[in-house]
Amino acid sequence: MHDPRDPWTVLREDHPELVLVRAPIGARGRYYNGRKGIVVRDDLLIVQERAALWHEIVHARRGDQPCSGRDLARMELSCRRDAAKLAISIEALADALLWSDCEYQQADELKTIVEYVRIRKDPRNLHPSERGFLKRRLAMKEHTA
Amino acid sequence: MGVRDWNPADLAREAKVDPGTVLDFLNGVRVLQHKNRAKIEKAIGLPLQTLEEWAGGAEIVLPDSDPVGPAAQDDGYVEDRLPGDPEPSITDDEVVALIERQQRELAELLEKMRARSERPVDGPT
Repeated sequence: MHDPRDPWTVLREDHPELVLVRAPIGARGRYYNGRKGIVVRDDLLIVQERAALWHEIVHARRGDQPCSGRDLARMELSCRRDAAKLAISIEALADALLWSDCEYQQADELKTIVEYVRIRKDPRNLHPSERGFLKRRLAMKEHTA
Repeated sequence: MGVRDWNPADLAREAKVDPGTVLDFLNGVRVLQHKNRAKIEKAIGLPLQTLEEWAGGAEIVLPDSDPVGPAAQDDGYVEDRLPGDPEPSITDDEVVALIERQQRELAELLEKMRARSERPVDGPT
């Protein structure tokens, strides 16, 4: 699920039909399915834009349509989860967890936002094989400490 | 996807009626209750009572454009608005205009690149 490329490259290579626009839209990002466009807020830090783009790329890959209420909440939740997986590989997550106990430092190391780190390392969002991998890596740290 | 591309499940979802109701109606094994008929007419974008008129032998004419449903939401978008996000200082129409401009400029750029690549290279004189 993780994509080693940066989201700008993914947009250019995988979604040439989508245009990227920066505008003062309030929310960090928007995906216009009908218009084939992604809009990100124009005052985001690069790390925030990277995270917002992963999120909108997930919408684009799914072809998400506008909706509201509970459907929207459910869609956004799963979209954040998939975006965090795209942004952070399990190997990089393990390295960051070994390197620091501080989520902000982990996010900094992973060049992403804290929210994505929290989502990515949440055991509920980890595949059993990923849980096993993290457990083994973290156990190694305790063993060597 | 427009109304004409909907399958019975799409229609049931858009109209918020039971899929079995739609299938039975389409197969002619069930007469629609008034409220379900109204929901389906609304989803397709038909004036109320139209289905009853069609059932009575009136000519079936589907609307040219889809006033409701996914195709009518061309300018619709999904956004992940979080607590603390500022209010937008741009209207939705202005955002759409920006997207259109960007697409136009991109198309022009691609056309220029294509024309340049097709231009014969001048040889040494």
